[in-house]
Amino acid sequence: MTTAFAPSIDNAFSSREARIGAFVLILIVLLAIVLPWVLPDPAVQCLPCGSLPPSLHHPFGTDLLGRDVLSRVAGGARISLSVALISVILSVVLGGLIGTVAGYAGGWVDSLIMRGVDGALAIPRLFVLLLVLAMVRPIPLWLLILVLGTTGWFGVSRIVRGEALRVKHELYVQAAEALGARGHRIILRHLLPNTAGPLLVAATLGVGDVILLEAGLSFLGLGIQPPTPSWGGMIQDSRDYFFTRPWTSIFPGLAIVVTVLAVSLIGDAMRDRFDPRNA
Amino acid sequence: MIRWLLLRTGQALVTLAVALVILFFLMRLVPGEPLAPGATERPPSQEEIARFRRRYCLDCPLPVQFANFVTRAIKGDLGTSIHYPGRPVTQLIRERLPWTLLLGGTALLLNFTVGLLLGVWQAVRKGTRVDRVLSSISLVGYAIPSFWLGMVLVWIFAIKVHWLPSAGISEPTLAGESLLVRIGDVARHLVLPALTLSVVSIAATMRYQRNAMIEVLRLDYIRTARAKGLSESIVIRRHAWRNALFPVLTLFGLWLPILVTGSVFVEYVFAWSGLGLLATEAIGGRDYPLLMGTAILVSSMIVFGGWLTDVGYMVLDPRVRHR
Amino acid sequence: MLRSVLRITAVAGLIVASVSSSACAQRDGASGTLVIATGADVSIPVPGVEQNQTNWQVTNLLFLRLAELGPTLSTVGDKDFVPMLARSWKRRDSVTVVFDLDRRALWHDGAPVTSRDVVFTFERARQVSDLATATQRIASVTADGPNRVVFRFTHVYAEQLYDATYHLMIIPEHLLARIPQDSIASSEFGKHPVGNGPFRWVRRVPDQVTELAAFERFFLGKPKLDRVYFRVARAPDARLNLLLSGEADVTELLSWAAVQRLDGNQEFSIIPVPSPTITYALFNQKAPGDRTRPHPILADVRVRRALVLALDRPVMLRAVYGPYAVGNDGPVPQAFAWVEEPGHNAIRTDTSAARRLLADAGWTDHDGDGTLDKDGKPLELTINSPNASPQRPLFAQQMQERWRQLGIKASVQLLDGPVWVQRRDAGQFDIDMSNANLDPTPSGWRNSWSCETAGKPRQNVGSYCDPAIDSLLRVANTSRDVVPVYRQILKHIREDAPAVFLSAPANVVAVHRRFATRPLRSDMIWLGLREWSIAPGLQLPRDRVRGN
Repeated sequence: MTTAFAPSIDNAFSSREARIGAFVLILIVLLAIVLPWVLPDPAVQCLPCGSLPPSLHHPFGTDLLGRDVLSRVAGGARISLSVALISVILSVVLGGLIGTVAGYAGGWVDSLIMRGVDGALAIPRLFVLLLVLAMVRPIPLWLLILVLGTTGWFGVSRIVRGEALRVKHELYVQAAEALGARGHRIILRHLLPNTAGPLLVAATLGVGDVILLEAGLSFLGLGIQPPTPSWGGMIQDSRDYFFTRPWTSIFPGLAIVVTVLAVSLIGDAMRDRFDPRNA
Repeated sequence: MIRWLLLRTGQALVTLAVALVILFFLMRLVPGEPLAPGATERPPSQEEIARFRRRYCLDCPLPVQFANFVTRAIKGDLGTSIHYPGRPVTQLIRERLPWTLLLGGTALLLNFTVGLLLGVWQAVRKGTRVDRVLSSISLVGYAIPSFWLGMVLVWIFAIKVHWLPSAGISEPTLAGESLLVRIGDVARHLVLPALTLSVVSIAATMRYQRNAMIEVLRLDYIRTARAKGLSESIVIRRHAWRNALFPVLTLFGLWLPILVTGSVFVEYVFAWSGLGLLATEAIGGRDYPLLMGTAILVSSMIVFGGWLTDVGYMVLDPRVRHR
Repeated sequence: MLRSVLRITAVAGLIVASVSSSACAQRDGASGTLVIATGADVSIPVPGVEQNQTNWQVTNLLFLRLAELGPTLSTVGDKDFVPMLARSWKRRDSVTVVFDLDRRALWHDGAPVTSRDVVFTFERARQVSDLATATQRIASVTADGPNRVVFRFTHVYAEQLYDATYHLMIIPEHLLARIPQDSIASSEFGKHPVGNGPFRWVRRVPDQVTELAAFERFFLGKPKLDRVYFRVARAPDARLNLLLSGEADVTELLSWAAVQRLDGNQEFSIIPVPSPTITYALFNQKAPGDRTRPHPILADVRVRRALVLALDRPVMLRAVYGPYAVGNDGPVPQAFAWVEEPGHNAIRTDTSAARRLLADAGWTDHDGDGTLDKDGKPLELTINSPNASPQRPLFAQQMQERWRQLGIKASVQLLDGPVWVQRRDAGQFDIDMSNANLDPTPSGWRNSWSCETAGKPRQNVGSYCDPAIDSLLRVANTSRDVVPVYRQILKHIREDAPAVFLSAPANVVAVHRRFATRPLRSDMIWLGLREWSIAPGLQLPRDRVRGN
């Protein structure tokens, strides 16, 4: 039943931008997994070797406390990527389920859910985060992920609902229904595979959003707590050294740009493929 | 048409009501006791927390609480700030809102003029290298964290070459000068934050305009125009772009949330005393009334923005009007 | 395309810039404007109302004391003081001092400053808890005619004149008599204070700027600067940007990183000023959150000493402050380093001694997991630090790493200001990264290190109590030769190790070179502002601007 899905993925990666994006992203993920095993512990300090410019021994230099910036960028990659990935998966699952239910059930259930989504979309995600942060700070990692995940599904649910509505009216579902298939079976076998494409697009683009949002929060000192390395936090920590020791903030900054760019290139290319009007 | 207008307005009100319900439940998470007595950054006192709970009637039955919350919000009574002792939240917001609107409005203008032009250019050159490169560049803009871009711009334009001020809204020593000088001064302060905000958000505008334009270029009347032998530039300027502009108007509604969020970071970096900076300050002082007030205002703005877009769209686009 | 957009806006900026600077040049006649970049907003600059740093600095420009500390900042005796509102003073006996007010002194509204204002100020000080404590050794203040006031003290001691002057900035009776103390903040006076100092209040734009102007009729001579602006920029790098972009002239409390950025800049001079600040990691003597029980680990003096000995403090403070701090081994800031014995250098690092002390106290690695333990419990401690401080998280992380090498597991918790203070006051911490701005006298030690204040919020939050120190403080309170007593107290504190004393930093100030400055006073950095000036040839356009 993944017939609608597999070729689109193929198409998506036929664009050069998307291939570059995918290559870079895979590289980043691999580095984030492998590097912390080979590099020095990002928490280890060495005062005599503080504030060293990039060299063979420390490719990204060291920070004020003599910690290896490359290790910290790699450690930050692990955190940023896992926060983004887990919260986006949460969003997609939530949005997918709720959207499917709304679209499939129709009627008042649908209106109720969709009015709720409208209302939720009117509150910027950042403000929900700020309100939660005003109450719980320092925020534990799991709560940050939970809040990011539970505030990210509204758009997804709209997309999925739309797809679900369309698919629902297609003949084969009606045929399946006529054959006596039960509700959840229809959803699992027919609706979800067909909505997988747009879902994947939303998820990919969502990853970029979450990485930027998390970096922003950490920059404001509200996100991930040091000494756990995070990209936004590293930029904030080195604000005073932005000009005298640029390597302490340029590399985490570049890490954000490259990662988000890679993700967006993939997401954009996929969106073009799934939405035939844009091609 | 009247019926449509009523329907759309009703829908906006429902959306706003739902947003208020959500905010209401978020607010109920506020803890019951003071979090930190006597700090330099003054945290709420027992009395202030009690006042906050009384104001929103947090110990009443749930429906009463909600009714109370809504009536106060409608009346524009948002309580008293904790971080700025004794100042009503409405008053604080009123002071800061114009600055955020100025910054957001300028960024929007910059974003739309540049973004629409580039989007059209991309559509015309669809599939070429120019199209792809522009798309990628706009995505780089989106991928740059706004705070980081802001820091770099300050370094270049304020510190390396002293062209523009590094932060703030106005130069305090010019307070006694003529109005013209002071307006010019604010304009100089506006350049870097507005630029930052539009660079990081231009990708969406370009993409939207590009796709709308591509769609229009496919339509029959364009083909007719071309067949009549009109030059390509006239076809695009006179015929296509006009119609591709309408769908882009809807972007305005999508824009508000992005601008509000972006302004939190940009205002922080540039010490631009608008709503975004107010919200980050409120966080430091655990100023629930102020945060809640800001969130209510921002949500209302977004709902209203969406409504305005739809209505504007309808007034402007004859095809929609007669539907 | 992006680049051309940048160019267009930059050009637009230039045009605006040239308009504004030509407009400035037309004005003339004034002689100087000073823009101070500051980290906190001014709130209510009235003595006894608010205490934050910037507010206190502005208060000190608006309001005068009877006399000021002299250049040595010594608080002992009657000689080293400089006349301000009081023209002169003399002793009637060992517990009575008579002040003669300067008849020329005026309030900013034109009314003369009289003895009734002084009496009123003292009455009001009694209603403000901080001030009441600080002036508790003053028995009475009475007026003797319009220009003479008589201070009586409860007993004979060395710092009588200091008590009578330092904490009492004189406030106007004729404007405040009808406003109760706790409504000053919300009154019209709170918004537009009327003082008697060299500068008068002009206006404040919340979170942006506070403007002061020279008081033309100031009785000691009109200040040479016409306008002083306190411009708010919360982030340290934003303050430095204001300097480097030419928008501000002065800023204080520069970090080492900031000083490095100013290196080689010809426009600014860097002035390290001895500061009244100390940074220390305070040990909690009581169990976190429960002041009735001793701390399971830190109540043992051997553990505390071991924790101190494990740290190479001179190296640590160099990483944080560069050359701009000195090590201290006790609560001694640079501002009253005179209390230390000359040549004293007790800072010792000895990791093997630290290991021995820990072993003595029963802490060894029994289970071989790398962390010391005792009775099955690991040696784990939490270090609380405010996240907004540029220095303390750095110290905390260094301590964490050094203690780890000894088998002590310390975790660093970076907290928001309010939460950090709350935990500190409630005694909910193992180790607290503290920072104190001390009064210029060791007699203030009573607040932080005596049994009397043990467990009190904002004072002795670590519940440290050594009766010997209390009795020495009592001796100091009634003695005329206090310095040896203070040295004994220091010795006790060193042996007890109630905290790791990390550093006595300097306050590093950057000043634009066009200003002819006066020596900056360590506890009130802008106090001498009325004598600052700019040589005519060096004036910038904004120095000639007249405000409203």
